[in-house]
Amino acid sequence: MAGISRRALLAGIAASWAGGFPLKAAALPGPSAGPVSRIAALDWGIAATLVSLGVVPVGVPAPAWYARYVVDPVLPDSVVDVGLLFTPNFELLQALAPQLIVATPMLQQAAPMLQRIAPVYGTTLFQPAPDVLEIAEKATLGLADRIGAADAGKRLVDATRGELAATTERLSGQASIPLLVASPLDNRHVSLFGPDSLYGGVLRRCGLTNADTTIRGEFNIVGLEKLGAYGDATMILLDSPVMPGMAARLTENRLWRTFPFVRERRLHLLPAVLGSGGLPSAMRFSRLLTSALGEKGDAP
Amino acid sequence: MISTQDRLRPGPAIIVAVLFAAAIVSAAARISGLLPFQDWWQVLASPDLNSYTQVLVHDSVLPRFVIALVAGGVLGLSGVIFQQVLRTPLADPSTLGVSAGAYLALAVAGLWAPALASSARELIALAGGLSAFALVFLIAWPHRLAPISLILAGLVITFVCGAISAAVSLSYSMGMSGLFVWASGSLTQNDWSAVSRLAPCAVAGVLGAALLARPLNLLSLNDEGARSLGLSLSSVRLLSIVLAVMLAAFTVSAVGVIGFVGFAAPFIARASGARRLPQRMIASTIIGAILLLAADEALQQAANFMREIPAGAATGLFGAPLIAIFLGRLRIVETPAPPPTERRNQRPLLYLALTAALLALLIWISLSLGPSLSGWSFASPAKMQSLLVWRLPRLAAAAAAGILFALSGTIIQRMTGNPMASPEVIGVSTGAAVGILLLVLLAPAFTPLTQLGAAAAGAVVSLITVLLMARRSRYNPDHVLLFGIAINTAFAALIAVLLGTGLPKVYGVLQWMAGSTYSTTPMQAEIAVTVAIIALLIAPFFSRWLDLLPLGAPSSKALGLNISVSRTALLLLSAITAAAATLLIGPLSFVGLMAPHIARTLGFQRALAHMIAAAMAGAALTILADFIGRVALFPNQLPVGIVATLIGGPYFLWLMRKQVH
Repeated sequence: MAGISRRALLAGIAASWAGGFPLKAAALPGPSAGPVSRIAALDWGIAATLVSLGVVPVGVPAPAWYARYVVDPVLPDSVVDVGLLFTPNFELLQALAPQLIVATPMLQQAAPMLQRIAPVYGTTLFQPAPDVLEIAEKATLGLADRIGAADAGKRLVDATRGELAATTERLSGQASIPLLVASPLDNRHVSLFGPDSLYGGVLRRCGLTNADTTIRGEFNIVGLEKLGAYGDATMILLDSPVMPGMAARLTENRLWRTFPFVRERRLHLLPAVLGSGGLPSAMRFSRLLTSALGEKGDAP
Repeated sequence: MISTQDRLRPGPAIIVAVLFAAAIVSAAARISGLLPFQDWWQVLASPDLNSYTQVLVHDSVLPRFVIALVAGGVLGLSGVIFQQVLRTPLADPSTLGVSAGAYLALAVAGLWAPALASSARELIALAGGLSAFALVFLIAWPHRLAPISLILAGLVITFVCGAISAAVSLSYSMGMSGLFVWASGSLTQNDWSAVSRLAPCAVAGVLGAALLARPLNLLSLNDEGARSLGLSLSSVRLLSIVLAVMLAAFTVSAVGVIGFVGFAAPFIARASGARRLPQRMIASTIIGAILLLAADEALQQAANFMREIPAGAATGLFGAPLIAIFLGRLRIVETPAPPPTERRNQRPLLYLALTAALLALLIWISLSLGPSLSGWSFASPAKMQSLLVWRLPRLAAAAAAGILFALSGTIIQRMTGNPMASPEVIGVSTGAAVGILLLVLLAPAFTPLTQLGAAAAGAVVSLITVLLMARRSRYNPDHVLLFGIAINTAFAALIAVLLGTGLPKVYGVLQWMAGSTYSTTPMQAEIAVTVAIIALLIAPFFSRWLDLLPLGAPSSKALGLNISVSRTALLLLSAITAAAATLLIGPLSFVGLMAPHIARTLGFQRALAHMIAAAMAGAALTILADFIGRVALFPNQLPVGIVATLIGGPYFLWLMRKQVH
């Protein structure tokens, strides 16, 4: 039947993508303990995690935005656009006939309708908290377990820990340097990320220092001019997908050029990383951080 | 007489002076915390470009101080001109759609050309604001730029721009925070560019205002009086509006949306004793400058122990209650409402049957036709079974909302004798929206019933406010509209602030605000339909009152009607139906305006037939809007409220055009 061959095909794509993850292609829709391969992922962090687990979701909302926000891991073109992030299209989802729908609590209101299509697994990969990474790990393991890929889940957690451990080691000489992580909102404001953000979690796990531990929640919106007050901090400036190139444009500003981290070449421009992207985003941030801090700062 | 009017009343003037002194002290204290006093002059003249604090004071603290004064002053001046030209103290610089247009332009640019949006933000906002005004202008032109047509056109453009912005921001989702920051009017500066752009406009504006002050003063006379003085009325009005709009648009493009200042400054100027226009212009400019400066200083001081709130959000938030206080003190002007003169339908049953047939056709199309991965198709009866569970509940909820809005609109239009009034226009649905918004953001948990309660409470509060205000002017139709618009503006500021909190719940609220029937479950749809049916069953009992009330209070009293009882009952009925409808499809739509009017155009004059026909027309409109929203951008879903606004906006404008002839 068409459905099964398609499932086998997707499993094949998934296996080839995951680079050797042994993933059994299910010939028949098995019981809930068995592997689930046709999954609709209604959040970009969930989609990224699934891809990293070796399962390519059949449907994801607005994949074009996924490509700009998450970047890595890449979603294959086979993934169907199921509509907008907060209003996935029910009819289309039903036509995709997923075995499982994975969503965040943001879609709580739509849950009764989604349950008519397939069982809904709700998960929170990101929640601003001091143990933001532990939450992501736990949610990843739970998700992997639910789709019958518990081993892949453990491997993903181990891979993330390994990546972060490598970062810890390579940046051990910079453990005491206070780091600011920010992303421009416009030419006058930035989001300044606190210890409870995913980035803050990565810094903590890697033994690095967050320059501002007073921020509650994921981030504070602060005026650009306040950034100069962090005297000895090093700035990690994440590019924003909605303000492309803004990070670079800030450097034209005269006030910006007086900031200690600019004058002393402690400014690093990084490409976008999704703050709610779960372990794949934590790994991506850790990789980008290692390569940035391993070099000299960007020109002022 | 003149001397007593011109006497300076000390109260408000002294308060403003104290505010100014406090702001200066606060700013001086902040600067002296950064720099020793002896360095001040040197930093002002030539800051050491290697010192962070020196450049900070020179390029951030000082321009922020100056921009607050300049923007506040410009808004005050713009407000006083608007209020003079539009002949209502309820107008402010955002009345003619400038802010909404700028916001829409930024949202659209952010979605399709993010690189351009981030590099040419001010230009885009300026272009958007001026384009929105150009539309308002074109719409009001056939009415010889009559104040009420300008205000109504501004309202429609604001609604339509708001609907499109909401649709854009829903697809844009996480990228909205930058736009929210802009919309909440932050005065943060990091160079002198905003000041150098806005200051020349301010100077030009002051010069223009000085030239226009004398002819503009004559505009406070009525049209005939002014014309008899040999004044080219339209040219003065035109020049003044263009001047005020330019001032508003440049301010919006420089610092974002700052509510209330342009509305309050002229009011305080008047309250402090400034009577003649030149005086009011000068006083309002000064007061606007001081208000915004004092607000911004207070917020910067508060930022020492809490998260910083942008100035525009704060002025909007604290301004809303003041607007309400002020509304109570408004002078009463009476103009008789024109009697409705439309042809009466000779065959109401035939027309009702035709409308019902059209409605049935729409329902069938909406249930069976739709796109899928393999293209468009009419569903076969077998396939329909599986699709019905998706299409029927949202259709039923949309239809129920259409019926409820139509009933509410019919009652309001008949009560006020005003074909332009509707739950949306006079702020009832906005009130319901605020009720729900507060509940969602503040309450730990909520059920559909508490949501309905919150919505109804909000709707009742705003409707009562509007009608209490309106009672003093004997329900003068224009006044009812103006009060409603003012309440809309005040609530809209509140909503902007709540959205600006950036809480994760906000995106869900945003979805609902846009008016979505998207996630309606069969059970919710059943409840909605039940409520609509109950309303339909109750409504006929009120038809006698609705037939009599438009005849005017004396005639209806003579016919044995207890005016206050009937008015209160009708008021409650219309508020509750509007609240239930708002709960279903959000506050944005023009269904409550369009449906009663369509029914009237078809010739249904008697209250009962009017209500039934309006209910059918309302259901047809929302079903059509729901269908379009479901299929137009497949797989993306457009909320029904947004589509209804996009249909209703042009209808409203067409209606205005018809009224010229």
